[in-house]
Amino acid sequence: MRIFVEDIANIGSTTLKIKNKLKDIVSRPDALRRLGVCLFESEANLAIHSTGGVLEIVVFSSKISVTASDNGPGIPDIEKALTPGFSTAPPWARELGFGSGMGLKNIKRLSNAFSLMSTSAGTVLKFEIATL
Amino acid sequence: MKINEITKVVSGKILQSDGKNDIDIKYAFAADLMSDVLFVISRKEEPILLITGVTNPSVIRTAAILDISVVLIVRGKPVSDETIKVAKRNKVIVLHTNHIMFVTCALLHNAGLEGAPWTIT
Repeated sequence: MRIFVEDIANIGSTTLKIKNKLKDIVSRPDALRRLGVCLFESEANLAIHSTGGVLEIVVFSSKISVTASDNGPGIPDIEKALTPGFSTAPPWARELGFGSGMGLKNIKRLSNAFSLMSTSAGTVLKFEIATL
Repeated sequence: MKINEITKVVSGKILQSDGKNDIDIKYAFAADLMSDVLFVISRKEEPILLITGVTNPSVIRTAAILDISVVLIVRGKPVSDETIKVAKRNKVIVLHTNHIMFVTCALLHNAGLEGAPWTIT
């Protein structure tokens, strides 16, 4: 499943659609909730920090693999970006309730595998949620 | 605590009632940053009340993603038709009070609601 994300006003709607589609496939509610949170954080990051990006979801028998990729502008300092509370979100994102600087850390702590690569050409975030 | 009791305790009203009306809520979490709300991950299936002063549809989507069935809007803030529409679609009950967040939390805590179990690690 590949979904293009760029819509600020509808942040979360893509995640809800995916979560509803996977309800019949993922039987563990806690895994589904962790997946939902990680997807939501990824969707918000794409909508707030990039010029638009793609969420790619692959369903395996024991896990769900997600790749969130965009075309930039990239994360200058990944270590800083993973520090709780550090945020470069603009004021309008905070008015919507986002940008506390916890998103990437949240994905890292809730997922079973996590990787993040970024250059000025774009960012690729990958994570997996075990479903068994 | 039942939804009607919560509404009574905060002298509030129910704006959107489609959803799990008979649930018994034990825990609450209050925040205006949805990023913080997304940190509320309980391993148990405990019903949680989300108390917030943010009224855009993303609040409802955040609640739905976390399986939170009831959202209480504080500070008497107006709630748009779009937010109510999203709440109806996702079966999230929306309550409303004119109290500020601090007073709302104090009233509900005094009435028996506890803070939602959560971890920052």
